[in-house]
Amino acid sequence: MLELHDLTIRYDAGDVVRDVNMTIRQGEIVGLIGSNGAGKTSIMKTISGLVKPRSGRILFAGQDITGTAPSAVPRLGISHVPEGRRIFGDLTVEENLLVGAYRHGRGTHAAELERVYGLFPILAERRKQRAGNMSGGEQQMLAIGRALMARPSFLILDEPSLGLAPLVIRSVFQMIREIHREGMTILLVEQNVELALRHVDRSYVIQSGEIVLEGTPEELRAREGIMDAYLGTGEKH
Amino acid sequence: MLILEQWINGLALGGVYALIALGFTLIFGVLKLFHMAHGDVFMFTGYIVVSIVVFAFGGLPFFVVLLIAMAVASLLGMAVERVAFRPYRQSDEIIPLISGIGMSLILQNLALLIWGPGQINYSFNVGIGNVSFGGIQITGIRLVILAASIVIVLIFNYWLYRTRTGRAVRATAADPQTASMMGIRPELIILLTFGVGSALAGAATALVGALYGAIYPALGFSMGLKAFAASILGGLGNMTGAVVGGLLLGVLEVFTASYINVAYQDAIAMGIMILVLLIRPNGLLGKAVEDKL
Repeated sequence: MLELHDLTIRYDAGDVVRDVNMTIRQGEIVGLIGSNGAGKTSIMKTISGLVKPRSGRILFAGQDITGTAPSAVPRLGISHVPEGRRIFGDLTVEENLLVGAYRHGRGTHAAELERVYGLFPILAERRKQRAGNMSGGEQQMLAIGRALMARPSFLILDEPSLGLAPLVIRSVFQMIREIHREGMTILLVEQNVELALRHVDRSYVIQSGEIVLEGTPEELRAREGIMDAYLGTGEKH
Repeated sequence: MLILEQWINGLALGGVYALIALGFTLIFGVLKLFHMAHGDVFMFTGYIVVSIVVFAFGGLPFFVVLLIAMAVASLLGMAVERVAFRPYRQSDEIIPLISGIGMSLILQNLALLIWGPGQINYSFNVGIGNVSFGGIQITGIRLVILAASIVIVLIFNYWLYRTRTGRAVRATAADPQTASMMGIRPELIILLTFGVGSALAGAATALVGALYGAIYPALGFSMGLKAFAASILGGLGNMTGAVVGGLLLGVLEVFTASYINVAYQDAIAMGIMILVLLIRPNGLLGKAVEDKL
């Protein structure tokens, strides 16, 4: 469904991502794991059109979407839950959701709202509340709900566990599984390797801007020594 | 009963300040930019409206004059955005500020060049005579100004807080990058913001024109300054604050003019503004100003 071909991203300081190749098939939930600064968010921003790649191509549903303007990306069916949630704090919960449905034009978006409120009942309770006053976990749910309002076929989740308490992380990931079960194709970016491997079908491992490993969680766990070397996770287990 | 008259006069003047301050605040909210030529858009619109409406097609109903002024200001504001601000979107924030000052000077000098340095006098017929009840006398113009300001502020408020486009404007003001990821085109929203914000100033142009019937090239500078003061007084970036600040400024000026001396009206209004800011640095209704500024 989404293919990255030889993607290279360069900022002023130099290449941050080099010759990355990734494929996500329809219905999969695929991880992209790596330590802080490895280039994960740069790849996500490039898919969303916020960053122009230096070279390489991005194909979505067979169509070359490299260099598409960010505001045109939601229309392709790609929704992005950005790192750090980035909810609109001064808007109410419901307004945040309605902004998420912006690409559909005018209307009440009752069906989408009902679906999101069904998935996240807490958002229905808080619909009139200022979004910035909610807890981190609730804001993460709002960010996911807002992305779903666009009725995407492909969902990018950038560090959904960031800054959340373990219990909250569990409920957020339960929701992610639920959304995936309903047929959503998901690209999950995580720093928390164990967490990511518990939830994905396959994962890529990125280090210093290059994909160094790819495989199912079992395959990756079987190469624990290598994983530790790349991700520095050895001390924790 | 004189005091009631003064209140109505003050609120009418304040309503005009509030309209200009609202546009200023809206633009500040979206671009985090002090639109230094906002008052000059107000002034230049006045000249165009006076030239077209009064001298070319005299005797148009005031409602039509008001709509023409809003349309003219809106187009002018969007042109200013294109010329003075869009080219500097990626630049350091001081650059558009200076570019705005440049645009202010250009508009003032263009007005000097086209219409000359002198004051032009004219009158709009608002179609309502003076109203007197219970010993108070209010000029019809002031009632029209007050009513028009209230209606325009209410429509604006509905647009910003109850419509899809208004939500997109507020989302863009909060976080343009994330807004673009929702399918909103920030450049379109910025242009729209200038269109709507300037239309509010255009409405003020028509209302002030009906009140004073005089225009001169430096009028924009003093109006822009007052809108700026009103926005700061109410709390920068806060829509309600802009209205409250504008009304307060108008009332202060009228009361100073009638009870102290008209010569001190600006000094006292600005003095009180400074006092308020000493006590509440973020304005009456403001919260901490973003560090983006």
